[in-house]
Amino acid sequence: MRQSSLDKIQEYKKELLDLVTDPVLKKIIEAYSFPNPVNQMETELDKILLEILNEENKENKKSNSSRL
Amino acid sequence: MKRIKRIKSLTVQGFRGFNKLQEPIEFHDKLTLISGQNSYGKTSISEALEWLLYGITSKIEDASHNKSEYLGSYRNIHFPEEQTPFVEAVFVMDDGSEVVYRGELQADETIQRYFNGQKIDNWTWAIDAINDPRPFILQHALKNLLLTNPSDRYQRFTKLIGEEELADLQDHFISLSTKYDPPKEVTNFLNSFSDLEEKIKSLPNLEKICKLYQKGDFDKLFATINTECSSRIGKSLADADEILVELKNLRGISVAKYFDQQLILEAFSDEEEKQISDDTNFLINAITDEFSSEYLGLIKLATIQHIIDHAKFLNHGLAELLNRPKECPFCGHSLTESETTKIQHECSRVNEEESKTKNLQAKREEINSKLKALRKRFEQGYSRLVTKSDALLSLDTQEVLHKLEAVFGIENKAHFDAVKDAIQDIRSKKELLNSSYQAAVICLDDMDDSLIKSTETPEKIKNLADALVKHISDIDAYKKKIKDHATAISFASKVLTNILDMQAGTQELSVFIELLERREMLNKRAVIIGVLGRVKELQKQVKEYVSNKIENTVNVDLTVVSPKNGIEP
Repeated sequence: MRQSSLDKIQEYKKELLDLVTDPVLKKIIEAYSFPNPVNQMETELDKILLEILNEENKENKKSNSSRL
Repeated sequence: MKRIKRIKSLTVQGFRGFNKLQEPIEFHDKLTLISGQNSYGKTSISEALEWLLYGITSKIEDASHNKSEYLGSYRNIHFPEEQTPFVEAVFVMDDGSEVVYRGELQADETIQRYFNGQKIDNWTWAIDAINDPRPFILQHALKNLLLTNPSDRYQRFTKLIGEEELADLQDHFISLSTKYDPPKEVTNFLNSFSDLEEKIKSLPNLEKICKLYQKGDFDKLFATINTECSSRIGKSLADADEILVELKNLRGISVAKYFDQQLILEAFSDEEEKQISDDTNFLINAITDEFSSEYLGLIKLATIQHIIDHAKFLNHGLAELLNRPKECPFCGHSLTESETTKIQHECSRVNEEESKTKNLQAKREEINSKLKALRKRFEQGYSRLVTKSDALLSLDTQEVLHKLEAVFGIENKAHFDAVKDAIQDIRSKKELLNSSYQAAVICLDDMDDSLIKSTETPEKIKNLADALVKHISDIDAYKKKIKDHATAISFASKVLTNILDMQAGTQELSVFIELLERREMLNKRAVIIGVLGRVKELQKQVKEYVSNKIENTVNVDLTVVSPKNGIEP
């Protein structure tokens, strides 16, 4: 890929990052990189979802004694 | 580096539709419209400029079939043979200066370039711009641009205006939001709620619960569950775990009339798998060559035991000799000086031998500790394994199985058969596991005994190693059977729960129990669904961003000035 294209993409990424406020979406945009941007974003999203799934939720632990 | 700002004029001779030399075509500094009847050379002007800049026209470059068909098509067929066709353009640079580009068509269809009259191989910008968009659309290419699917059309337009990266960016985010498959664990996790959702939907009394569940309003959902449950339990409880206990008791009492056992066989979790793997590795690594040689080294202890006894005997004699130096301490005969020296010498030699045995005795203690650690780990590992199937195997009595068969009925006989198969398979592997465990315990006992009695032999350590290897192999077989049957048992268990709930009228209680048991998971599910939803929304934001960028490019970089602002007719 040409340097000029990579520079443009960097600029677009930066502008998109400024546009979104959601930290999860920011992480996904951050992951956008060549040569395979979709794959990179998917890998990041995999990581985010697995982190949520496997995270030892402190709130959950509390909820064992929490009241409904 | 200076950049071309605009075309000032173009002169064409002998190229495409142009024959003899014409007056230069002068271009306006903003916009020039060229009109004319068919075959009057409008397209040739565009082709001439494209050829001058790139040495080829897109008509030929994009030809999908044989390009040789176009050989000779640049040269005007009426143009005199002795003359050289050419295209010449005067460009105004961004600093206001002017440059002259000239291209002469060679006999082999290539272009010879001249920059301000100087022959050159290529334009200075040519290498950098090799992949840049070429802002030319010829009539023949319009159909490629327009008569295609929206996505390709979009791609081609953005390429034309030099913004293909934006189109790619948009495509990539669309692909992420429409084609992304979450990891298997996440999909399985989300799917694990489908049965519960179906149950909630199927119970008319739980309409309110269903709506709150679908809305994801968990605070209200659990507050409603609390109210519902309090009325069923007959007392008000605020703690989720206390409510759960009460609900389970309530359901258990109702269901026990039909079947009072539980059908459970859980597959090994990742954590348990790791623990088993660690235990197995510990067993494999316990009997190393070093350990064997240390153990076998203890055999020497037995053979030199008499030396220790001899040393004790001689030391006793020496003590006596100090009191009566000229008399044998054992038989009372008088001793010569050389005999006394000999006794003393023998005594020190034996003492030296004895000190060597002390190292071996320390080694024995060390080996004893290692064996104790091995036994402890071995017993703990075995205990962890066998308890895994206790619940399922507790069903293995004629009476319980008969009841279970009746509850499943003919309709669900396949599930009952699956339970029976699982019990049979797992029991047989568990028996083998137990047998190899007992064999290894005997070997460990034998090893311990040998350390106490100084009866170490190579066979004993070999027997232990063989027993451990057999046991590890039985662990694998037992684990595999549990894994093989866990899914079927889990499915059968769900079916059994549904049947019992139907028979006992405890469907609603079961839903409350599951919701409360999985309340933490429900929050997690909501977070995951939220993330996936926001990723879908992201493509809209990207589309809007790209759309704005392209609009900006069109408005700013490709400004069209209207005639009233000064375009000459």
